[in-house]
Amino acid sequence: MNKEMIIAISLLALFIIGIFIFAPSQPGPIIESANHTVEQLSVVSNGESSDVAGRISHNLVMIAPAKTAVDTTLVYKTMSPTVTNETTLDYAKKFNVTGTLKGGAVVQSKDLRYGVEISKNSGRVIYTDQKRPNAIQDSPDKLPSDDEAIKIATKFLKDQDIFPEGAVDPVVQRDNTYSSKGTITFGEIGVWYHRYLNGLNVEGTQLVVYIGGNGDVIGYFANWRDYVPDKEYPIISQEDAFDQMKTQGVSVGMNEKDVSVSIDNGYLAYHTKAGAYSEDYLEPVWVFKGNVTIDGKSVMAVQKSIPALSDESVKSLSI
Amino acid sequence: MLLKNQGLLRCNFIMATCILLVQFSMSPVSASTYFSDSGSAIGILPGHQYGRTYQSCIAEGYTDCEWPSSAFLYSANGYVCANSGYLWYGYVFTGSYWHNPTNYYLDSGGVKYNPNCITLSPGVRTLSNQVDSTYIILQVGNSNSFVPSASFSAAPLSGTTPLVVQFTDTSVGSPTSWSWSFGDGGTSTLVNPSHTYTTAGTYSVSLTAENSYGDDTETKQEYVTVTPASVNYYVVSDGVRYYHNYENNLNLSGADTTAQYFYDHLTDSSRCHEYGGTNYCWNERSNPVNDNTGSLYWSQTESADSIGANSAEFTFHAGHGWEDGILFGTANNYHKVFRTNMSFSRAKWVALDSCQVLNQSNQSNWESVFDGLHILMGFDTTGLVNEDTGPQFVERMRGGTYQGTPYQVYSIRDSWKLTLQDTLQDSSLKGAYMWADPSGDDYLPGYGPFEEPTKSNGEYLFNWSSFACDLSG
Repeated sequence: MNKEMIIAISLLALFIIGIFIFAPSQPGPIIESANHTVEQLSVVSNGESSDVAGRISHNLVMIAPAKTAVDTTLVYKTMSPTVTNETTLDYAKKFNVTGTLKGGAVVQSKDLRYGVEISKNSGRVIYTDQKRPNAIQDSPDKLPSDDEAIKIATKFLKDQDIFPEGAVDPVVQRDNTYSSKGTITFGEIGVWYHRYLNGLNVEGTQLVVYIGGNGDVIGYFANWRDYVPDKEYPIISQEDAFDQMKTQGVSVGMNEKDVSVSIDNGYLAYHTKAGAYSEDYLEPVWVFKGNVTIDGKSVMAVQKSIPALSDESVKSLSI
Repeated sequence: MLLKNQGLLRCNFIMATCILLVQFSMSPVSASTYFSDSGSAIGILPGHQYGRTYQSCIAEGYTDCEWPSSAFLYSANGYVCANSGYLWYGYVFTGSYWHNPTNYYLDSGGVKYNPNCITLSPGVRTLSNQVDSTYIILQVGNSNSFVPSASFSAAPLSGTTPLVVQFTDTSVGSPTSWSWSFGDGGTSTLVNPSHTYTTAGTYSVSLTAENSYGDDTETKQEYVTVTPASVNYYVVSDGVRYYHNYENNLNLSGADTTAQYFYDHLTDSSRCHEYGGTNYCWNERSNPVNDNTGSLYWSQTESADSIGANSAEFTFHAGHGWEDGILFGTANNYHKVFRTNMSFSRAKWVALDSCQVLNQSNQSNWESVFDGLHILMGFDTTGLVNEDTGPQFVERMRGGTYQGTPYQVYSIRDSWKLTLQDTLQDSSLKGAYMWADPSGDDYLPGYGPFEEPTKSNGEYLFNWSSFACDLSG
């Protein structure tokens, strides 16, 4: 068999496989079971793996102007948290929590209501009052205004000496509880603070004080690590990051595979890990935000971050 | 035996009368308070002996002691005898306080002197085998004029919560009042009380019997053993990430680890935990298994119905979801299950670690599944599958430790919120939950209180709430 024939047969085989793989989807039969109506969906083209709970779209369009190219960005080294009996008890005192010290990182009242918890991996601190919010103390008429909530939260942090340097731009998120009739029965006001380093937003930072009725501080969650500058490292361009994202795809939930996604915002930021995890370095990422659009309408927000450090930089960090 | 007070008692053994110098103190008796009596007798008699017809003698070591009474006879070198109808009563002083003698004998024949009063036949008895006692008081008196000696029995002595135990007074000496302490904080003044133990444990029980001459207490250490009653709960978890036949996938190797870890943690060696006198045990309803191709899936799951979601108290699903349903994965296929066809007749707590199942705009649609359900957890937005979500969720509910981090005991609802905040990061992400009154404050059985949802005018009342996990972006 000559070379040309091998290539021809190979192309034919690929074509036949492609017909099966990329065949249009057809609705499947309905299977009735005792308690569930089970719809057996058709085989649709994909063949890829994903760890997101939904379908993937590679049909991404960048409609935002590209950011000015930068070649390097400062990387920060993350300091290991110090979590001891003393630091934990000190935090418990700030939140007026008394109870049993567990594992050197948890203090919880005997009735389970109040507690302080510190992660040994990240230094993340949680304070909770498990009886708040509630319909009696935290009904909408008892909650402060947004501005008042910010003032209360900031004052509390400063009074307790836990207002970190660099906590800025507080925003308010009202986590409301609704009855089945759709009315707000009670809620809490989360006052979230932002953090910037080297002029870039530190995404993943979680510093929130929850304010309830009567202006009470009813919760606190702080994933706020200590950093020291390491050095400048080369990063990839926004265009390269966008290409990587197109290759990986973004989750579009149960929308059709490769539904149109418009990216209207892309920027460089730092990204810190969630509170459950330890971290060696604070690294830069390219952040892309946009919307799934169907028939010209936005139906779902999407967001994805692409690590910005070049391969050489990552290797340097791991040394 | 507790002494009400201690006093100095000067006795005239010839006349069988006494003078009591009462010291209303429980402090140890110092050596200076000893006194000499006739013959070689020295010592202190407990104050509650006041007013009783008796004779006493205090012997230091094994020295002689005079017992000039018609109630008993004494012979030299430690030989004593008691006349019929009299009781022996005694204390030992060990250098700090008086207490019951427990380690010496009154005769060489091996009849052990019991702290309780005993009647001795007339005859010669020998003080012997005294251990670590400096002084001994021996008293005899008319059995009708003695401080009672407390004793009791009980049945049953072991069982599961709630354990009802019948106590029976067997004291001698004609007590007129009784004071029971059951070891769990419960008390009674009845003669023969019954007591219900509601919390598991081993309890020491004491009875103080009292009459006009004084009181006596018997304590039986670790007398009643109560073990918690067991209640079995079941968990089912599924999380086939890459569903067979879905998106052209023929490989099931992606059984989602977060679902498996949730399952493994809840049914691990700490699967049983006591709360409120009941031992709650979390048991396996379906197991992840490996078939001969290495594929990982959930057993007993050849149909969406038999996956077990309808036969377990806690259901955890990790994988695809949308506003109207979820996908269940099985060995041979995947199944799209609509919320309108879900029926959780047994389930009380359901977590759907899946996208958008509890979007605010559609949350009221899920009320149809709340037939006895306490709480439904999910996302108000696209969710993210993270392998640590399941196990951390479990350990937060039971105040355990995961990856070296100890947690508080959180309610199920707060566990869900904090787990998502602690493991997932995306400023567009919002978790959500929906609960039927009053079950929003449920703790995992075994770790805190939980309540059945109630109906008002034949309907459940629902609450829905969402929360931001990260607003830094």
